[in-house]
Amino acid sequence: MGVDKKQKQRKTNPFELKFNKSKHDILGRKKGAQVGAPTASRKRAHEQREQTLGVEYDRKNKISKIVDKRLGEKDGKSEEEKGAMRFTEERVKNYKRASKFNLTDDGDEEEEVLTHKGKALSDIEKYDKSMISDSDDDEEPGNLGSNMVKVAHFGGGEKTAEEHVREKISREDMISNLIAKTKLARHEKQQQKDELELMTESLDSKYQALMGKMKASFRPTGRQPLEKDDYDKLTITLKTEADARATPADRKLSEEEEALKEKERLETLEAARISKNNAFFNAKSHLSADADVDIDAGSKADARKVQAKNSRFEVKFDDEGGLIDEDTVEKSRILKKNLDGSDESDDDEDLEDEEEDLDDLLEDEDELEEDSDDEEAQEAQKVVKKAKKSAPEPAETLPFVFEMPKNYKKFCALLEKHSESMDLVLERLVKCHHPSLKEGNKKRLNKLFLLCLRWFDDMSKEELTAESVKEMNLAQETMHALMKFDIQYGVRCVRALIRQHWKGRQDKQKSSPVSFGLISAIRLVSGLFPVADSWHPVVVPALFLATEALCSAKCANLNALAKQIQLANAIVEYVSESKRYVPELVAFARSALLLAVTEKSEKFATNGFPISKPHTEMLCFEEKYTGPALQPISLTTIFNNSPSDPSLKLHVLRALLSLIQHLRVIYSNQNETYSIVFKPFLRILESIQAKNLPAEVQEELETLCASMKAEIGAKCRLVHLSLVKTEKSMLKMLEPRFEWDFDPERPHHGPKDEKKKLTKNLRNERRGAIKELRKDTAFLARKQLSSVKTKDRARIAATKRVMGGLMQQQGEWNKEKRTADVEKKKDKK
Amino acid sequence: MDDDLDQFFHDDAEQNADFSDDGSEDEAPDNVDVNYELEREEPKSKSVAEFTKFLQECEYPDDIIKYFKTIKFFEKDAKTGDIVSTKSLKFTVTGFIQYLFGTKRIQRPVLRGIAKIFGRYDIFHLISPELVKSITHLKETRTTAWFNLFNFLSFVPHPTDRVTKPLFRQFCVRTPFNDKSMKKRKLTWISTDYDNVWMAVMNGKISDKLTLKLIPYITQNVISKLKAPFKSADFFFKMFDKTDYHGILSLGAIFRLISEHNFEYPKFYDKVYSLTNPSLLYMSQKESILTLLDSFLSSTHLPTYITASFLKRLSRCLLLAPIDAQEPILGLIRNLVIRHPNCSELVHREVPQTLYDDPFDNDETDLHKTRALESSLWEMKLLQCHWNQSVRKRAHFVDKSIQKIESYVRFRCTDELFSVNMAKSFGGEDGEAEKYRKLQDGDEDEEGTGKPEPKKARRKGFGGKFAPKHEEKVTRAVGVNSEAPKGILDRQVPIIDVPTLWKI
Repeated sequence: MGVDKKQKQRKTNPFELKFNKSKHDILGRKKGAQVGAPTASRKRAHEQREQTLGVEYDRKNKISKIVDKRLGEKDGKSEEEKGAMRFTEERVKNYKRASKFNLTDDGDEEEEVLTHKGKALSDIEKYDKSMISDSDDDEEPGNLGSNMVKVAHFGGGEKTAEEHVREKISREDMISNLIAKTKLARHEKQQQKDELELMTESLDSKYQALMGKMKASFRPTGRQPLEKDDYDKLTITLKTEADARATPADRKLSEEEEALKEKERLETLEAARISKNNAFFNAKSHLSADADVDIDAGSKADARKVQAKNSRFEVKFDDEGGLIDEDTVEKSRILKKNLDGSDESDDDEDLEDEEEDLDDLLEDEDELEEDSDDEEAQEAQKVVKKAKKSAPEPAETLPFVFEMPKNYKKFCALLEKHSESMDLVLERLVKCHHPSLKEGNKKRLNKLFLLCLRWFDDMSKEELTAESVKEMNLAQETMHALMKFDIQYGVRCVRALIRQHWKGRQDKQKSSPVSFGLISAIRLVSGLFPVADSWHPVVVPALFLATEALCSAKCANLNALAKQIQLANAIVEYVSESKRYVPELVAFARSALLLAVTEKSEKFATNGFPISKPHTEMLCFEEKYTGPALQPISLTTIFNNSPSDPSLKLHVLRALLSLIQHLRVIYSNQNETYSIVFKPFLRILESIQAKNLPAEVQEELETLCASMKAEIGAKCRLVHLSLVKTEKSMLKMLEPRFEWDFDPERPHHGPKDEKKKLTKNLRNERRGAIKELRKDTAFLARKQLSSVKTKDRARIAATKRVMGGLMQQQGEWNKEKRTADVEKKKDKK
Repeated sequence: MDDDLDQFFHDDAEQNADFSDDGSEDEAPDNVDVNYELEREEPKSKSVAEFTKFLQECEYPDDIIKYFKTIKFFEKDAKTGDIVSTKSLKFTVTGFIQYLFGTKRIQRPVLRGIAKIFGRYDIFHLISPELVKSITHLKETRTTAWFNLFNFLSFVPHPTDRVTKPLFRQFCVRTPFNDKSMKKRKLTWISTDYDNVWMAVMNGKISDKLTLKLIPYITQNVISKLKAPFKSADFFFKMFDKTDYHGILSLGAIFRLISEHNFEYPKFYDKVYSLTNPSLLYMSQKESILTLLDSFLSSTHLPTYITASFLKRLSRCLLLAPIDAQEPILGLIRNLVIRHPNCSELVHREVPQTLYDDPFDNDETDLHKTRALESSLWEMKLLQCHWNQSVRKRAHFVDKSIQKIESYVRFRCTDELFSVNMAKSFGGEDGEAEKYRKLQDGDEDEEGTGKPEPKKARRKGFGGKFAPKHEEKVTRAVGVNSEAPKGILDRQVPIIDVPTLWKI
């Protein structure tokens, strides 16, 4: 073994070695290879490429094998079997291609027959063929013989003997003969075509029978139709249904169209009403016919009137007079019933009218029977009574179309005229003046809004009654309906009302209790506008007005206190949804509650409460309550300043407790400040002397105290206020950074260094790969170049060989030629 | 009656213009004997009772002038030769005082007319000694007399404001006020008369009803005029201890005495603390009181427990305060927190603790024992739900970091606040249109991008740190109730079951 090593070492050429020198020995750096043999490594690489890449290159497009795909060759079948297989395949191929576009004869199991207007296309084709044959006969020149053409077209100028003979035959006979020949020719042609069709059909039937036998051997072509599932059936039905699109029978009308429709309806109703009134006048004019009858009696003009009256009374006792009485009685009764019917019915329907007519007729018959039974004296009395009844004119019915009143007086007059049905009047007034119906209607509706607002204000200033409140509610509803058309105008009008109230209180009534006008204005605002917005141009001024009125008024007596509590209830309405805190409201409630306590633990928060002795205990009960049972407070009594009954004190206290109950519930979501606000209330409530109160009020008071105490206990826990901290970055210091786990062997370690190392490795690997690819490309290029050179060399050699041969022949030819020339010269000499 | 008096006041002004003191006093007319007036026989004059009755009956000041022309005011003393008052003049002075302290209530315009005659410096010099004596003996129950006196004195000006014209010059040439020594010290003895009268008033037994008017008048008009203002200290300290209302009214004077004249009131801050309650904020003088309170607490050397107690007390008052007191008190609270950084614990604590109840005792009157520093300003959380928008915004200062600069405490009355809210712009679009516009985010983005550009372009031209801000007009949508409203008196708050308490 040692000998072999020595031999190998000797073989290496020392000049092929390369030594890497290092100038400085650096600590920590890895030492590379000291000695290398680049020539040897290059040679080894070349050999490897020859064995791997070179082999692939040589074999490219050269080494392959033949795959025999002929039918039947692999299995070693007999010649006949091979032929049968190939024939079958060819037939199938042709069959597929041929039958692809065949519409009638499909290969599917279910043969679908194509139809047109309920008839099969095959039938139609036959019909077409017959038509085509007719046209062909006309167009083809061969249908008529040449002889016939000659005869028909008078061809030829030479007259023969036959022509002379034909001239003798009559023209009619000639034409009939010609027609018969033409028909015969057509018949023969038709027969030929029919025979051809029969042959074709027989061939087709035979072919189909033949194909039916061979069908089993074929493979199924394409996708077979699947059995239809429920889903497929449903999908098909949806498709069929989708095609039939439904047109809407009742389309939703737009606002303008609805308004127009409503106006037309009202106008038609108005026209019907007017025609009814005209009918009434016609009935009146019908009475003049009686005068004509009197005129027929034949008496003087002046005396006729007097005599007519007398004659009526006189004629009663005669047969004719009896008839006259019956007529008058019937007519008056009919008028009454017509009037009654018109009063009752708001919707005028023809059927009802007809029914009424029938009823009238029936009653007329009954009356006739009755009249025949009664005595003459009773008849006279009845006539007198009915005459009196018919004397007053009937009241007009409510019209359906109104004109907009131009000022407030006319507006009030219109409402007073139809005082029983104001709501209908206002509703129809709005509908007749929709902005889309006519130019300028928006202004008219705005004016109506202003009139309603003024009406509302006047009603609130008048004496408080159930009727006035009803009218105010009607005005409110009308204003709400009118607000849709122009919100800006409505807002400005209501703000003007608030400003008017504000100036009134600032100038004159600074410390007087609130009036019903102010309370109703505040409630109107909460009725028309949302009170939960963060800011509203009407609601916020209304709250300013309400809170200022609540705190600045003086409560000198129970009536004033009741008014202020009513205003507080209106403010609670504003605040119950949004849960806003109103300090004025809480201060008022607390101060008012102090009136029910004899030993006051604190002072009045607001200025309006009495300090002197008899009035400051307005709500205290020193004696047992012996008044009537609990009743609601009468607003009429309070706001009209009529003397109040002794039980008002108890009712006012009850209303105050209810107010505090509302406040407790509204502000129950304030966990942090609930006990701060309501502990004083609890203290005052507990010090109220409840022994003199009736049992119901005692229960209410105890319930309120218990619930308030429980809630205060539940919400006592408090956490100190603290702001959310924002983290601040530290200043960068210039102190040196110490690494406690420093390792001199590995100075660079950590996630950042690891990443750097990996990146470096990746880059080195990529560089190596690129280098290898480049060398592979160079190797292949050299190989290709060498093969090209080899071929070129061979081609050049062959060319030289050929050219050499040619030159040799040419030389020999030239030699022979020179020899011949020489011999000729000798011969001449 | 008033019209007549106005006419005569005008006449008096014209008459006064005729007389002038431009050095023409000594130059007597040549025709008139200087000593005649002094030496002539004294005519008959009215007695004290008669003059008093005369004053009550006469309707015009001219009548008094006519009477004065008929009598003799001064005479020469037989012994010393000095000019002295006559018996008639003494009767006149005494009668006037009896008229003033009579049982009838004299109307204020009438006293204004009377003061134009008896308020002149020369006759007032004679009246003041007797007036001082009478005031000393005046009882508390005589309310009418006190009111008459107050009304009369309010029309007598101090020499620094206005020097009145002499009265006796119309009737006689030589008067005791013509001497050189009197002329030299004219302003001095006029001021002395003023001081003596007002000191007598303050030291007297004043009626209770008059004090409510007297205290602000003296605070504003009299203290600064007195030669020795500290002499009024007894009066004000007495008023300060009387009732809360009197104490509130006299705070200004007490503060001035303490700050300018080195007075000391024991437990001044405890007293002020007890006066600070919700009813204070419903008074008409709330603006001046809050300004004083701001002055009291403006020192940075106040102990922390005092400042904290006032912070909590003011916060509790805000829970019951009207709208026009909300903004200034919120500003005051914020300034106090900024001024006293130690009190910022009420707003922000590094380690918040959980407490069973608020440790602050609102009923405790001793500032040491209120335990305000252990508490927090939870009341601000409730005011963040106030019904007014600006109060809501201001109450959010507890949620922000503490500022460095104090804000301006601004007072606006209720009428001004109402006008501001009425002047806010609204309209433009209906509520539904704006909702639809907000739902489309693309439109908002476009508008957002579009809006700042004109601002920037405008600011380039109108640049500068202190240029006025260009406020765009913001149009707010107006909401309307979609449901039809119920009747005016039929609406019920649906929170709890309430028995029917009201009927028509």
